[in-house]
Amino acid sequence: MKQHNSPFPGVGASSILMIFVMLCLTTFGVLSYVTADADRKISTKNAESVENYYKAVSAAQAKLQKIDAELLRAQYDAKRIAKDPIYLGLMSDSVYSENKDSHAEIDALLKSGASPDEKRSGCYRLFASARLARLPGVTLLAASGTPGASFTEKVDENRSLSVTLITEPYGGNARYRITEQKLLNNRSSEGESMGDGEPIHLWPGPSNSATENP
Amino acid sequence: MKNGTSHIHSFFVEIILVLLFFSLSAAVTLRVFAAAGQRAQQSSELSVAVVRAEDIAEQLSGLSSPGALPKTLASAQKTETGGTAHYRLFFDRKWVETTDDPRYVLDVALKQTPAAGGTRVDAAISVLRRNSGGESPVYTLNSAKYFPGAV
Repeated sequence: MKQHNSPFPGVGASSILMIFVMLCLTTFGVLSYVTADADRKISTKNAESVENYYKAVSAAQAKLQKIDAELLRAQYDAKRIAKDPIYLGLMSDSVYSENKDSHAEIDALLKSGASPDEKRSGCYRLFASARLARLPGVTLLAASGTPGASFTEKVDENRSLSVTLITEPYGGNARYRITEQKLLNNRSSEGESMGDGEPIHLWPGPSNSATENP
Repeated sequence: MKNGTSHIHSFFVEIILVLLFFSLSAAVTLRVFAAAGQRAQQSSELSVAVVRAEDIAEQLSGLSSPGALPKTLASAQKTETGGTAHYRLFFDRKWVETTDDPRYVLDVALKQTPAAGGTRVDAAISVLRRNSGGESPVYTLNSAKYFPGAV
């Protein structure tokens, strides 16, 4: 059998080389695209998560505005009724008329020999409790001193924002003070570092320095 | 000799076919690489935009009065339309603040709404990309802060 000493490689070698190169290029190309696409999806998910969180923050601030308006009204009513008990008629206001027990308590307080400041403080505490209890989505917290409240805003399926506040005494620098603001995980999954319902304690924010302007 | 010539002809025909298929496949693969690069660029852009917007939102949360301004906006261009103050910051491709041929714009609209007990400040934070057709949104974030007692 004659052997041809040809300088050219055999038929098929270039095809094999081409197939190998194309396989490598295709593999790297697909890997690059898949990785970049996964990165983009994670970035988009993170962006949505941040957006949802700040929507909940906005909703929480709107609720705080409503709470503050109720406390301002309670302050005004307490000032009026302590100044002149004739305003006991305002107790028929639907906000206060639901709680008959406080009628007797306020009546006793106003008829007692307490100082005007004590009368205002006592009435304010009761009025504030009544008004906060009526707000939708707000839970009144039983406290030995001034009443407190808490509410929750949904962030997304897995998280919610919980805010807890206490009302400041009548005549203070502020009407309320946020004591706790936390991000709650509604659902836990295996492998996560956080436990079931373990809250993330956020920065409580500065004290509110509101002046009394009924 | 005829066999040698035919061998060379076969080789060249094969090489031409190989180069043809290689160029077609390379064109497709290069498009895949370009798409991957574009996706990476979008992801990077969005990530930085989220960080910038969140920074402003957090600074708003930390303000102590409705008239105060987030520190980042101290050097921003300010315009007012219909009771809403707009603050604009300009960034280049590397997200360095610049006024010369900016690539990205951070637009913050702050609106104060007085209420009975205080003032509510609403912020609409937008990160925009500048191109030949104008400005297109990259990311938008809305936040708010209520300041009790500051009427």
